[in-house]
Amino acid sequence: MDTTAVAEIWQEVLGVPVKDDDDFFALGGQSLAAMEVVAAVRRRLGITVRVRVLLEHPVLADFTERLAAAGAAPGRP
Amino acid sequence: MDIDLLAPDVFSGYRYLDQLAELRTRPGLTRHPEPHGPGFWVASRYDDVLAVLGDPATFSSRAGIRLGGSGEAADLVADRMMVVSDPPRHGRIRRVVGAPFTPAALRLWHDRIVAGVTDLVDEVVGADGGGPADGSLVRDAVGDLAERLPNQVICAMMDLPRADWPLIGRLTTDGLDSPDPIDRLDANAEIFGYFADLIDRRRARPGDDLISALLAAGGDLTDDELILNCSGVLTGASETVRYSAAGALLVFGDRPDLWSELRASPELLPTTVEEILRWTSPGLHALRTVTRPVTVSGTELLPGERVTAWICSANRDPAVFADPDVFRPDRTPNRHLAFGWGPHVCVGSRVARLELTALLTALVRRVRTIAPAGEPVWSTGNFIHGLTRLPVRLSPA
Repeated sequence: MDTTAVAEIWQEVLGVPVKDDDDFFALGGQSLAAMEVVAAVRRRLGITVRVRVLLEHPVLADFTERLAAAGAAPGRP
Repeated sequence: MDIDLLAPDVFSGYRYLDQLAELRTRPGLTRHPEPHGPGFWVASRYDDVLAVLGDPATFSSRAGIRLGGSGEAADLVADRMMVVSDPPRHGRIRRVVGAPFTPAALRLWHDRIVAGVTDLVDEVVGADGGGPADGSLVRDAVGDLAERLPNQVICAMMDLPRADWPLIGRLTTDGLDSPDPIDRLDANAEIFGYFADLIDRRRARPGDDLISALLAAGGDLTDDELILNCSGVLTGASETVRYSAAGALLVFGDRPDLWSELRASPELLPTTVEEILRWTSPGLHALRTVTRPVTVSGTELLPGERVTAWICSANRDPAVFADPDVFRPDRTPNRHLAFGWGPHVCVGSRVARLELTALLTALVRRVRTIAPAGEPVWSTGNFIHGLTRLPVRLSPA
């Protein structure tokens, strides 16, 4: 899965440019921003992911990989 | 008496009221220690609670409004979410959030709310649960009735698809009450996404629902702020009335004489509803942060210190309520603070009163007796509090 779509969501929520190896918290992310990211991922990419996943995988490339796994899982929208 | 207003077991039942009764007898405000913090002040008397809640310039909501909340979380929504804002910003948010709750707006809703509540009671009392031969029915007054009451009213007011109602109810409770903060965050993220979608749809196609009314009043609120406050409305609606409704059934189960009296004299209904609100006081405390030096009841408070105003204790203050620990259906006057006080006084109080009135009206008609049928279970939080399970035996009228 390409990081572009996810990077766009991070950028909108955090208000700063985002690269693949950026860390969500280092960019100023916090609980409310994490919530907004997860909500946007669900709406725009159709992938349901728990906030916990972002908190445990705060690097963009890593988080995107997790999303790809969740998105490909059977039974997911 | 040892006082600990942070101990969960104090709140599973009524023991917190004993502790607060003791604090009301102590002069001034009481300093309460905290395991990992500087401690906080406790205002337990009616007048002291009024002094704190009525003066938002001295007692700010911006650093959070509950014990156990995180200051960081409050920071993120300060002046964006109505309950975590101070005047003048608070007033601007309130004009938007309050738009669907004005008397004029609610006239539109009155009949639908009453019909919905009546249907719910008919379903709960009428459904054949394969009960005992005497025709009585055993129900969980919370799961079957009390928690569904506000959920159904607020979901209907928001015009949400019926299939989503249970989900919304679960998410709202998890978002406030889950022991794990990350679970709370997950639930809130789901609510956030749900309202983001909903707001888009209602903007494209407005209806006569609560969300459309809020959008029409929009003011200068951003979409994020609208979503946060929709979620605030959901919490305020769902997580409070359920406990008042459940507490009412507990009272009438324990005091069959009061239930017979109410059935015989429906004119007692308005004062009974107020007494239920005073008696149950689901919102136990509200926290404020001192902005400037101030003296309350002779206690000097410094900027930055936190004060908790115990609404449930004010509502049992013998200086204001004669026999405060007696449930009196005809109590008049009854100037309880169950909806809070000052600029943050509950925006949905009219709906709450209407729900409880409609509930009792329907129950009076359908239920002859209410009897305990098992041990009640209490929530253990010190913020919003009440029964989470209440087995009752209902005998249909």
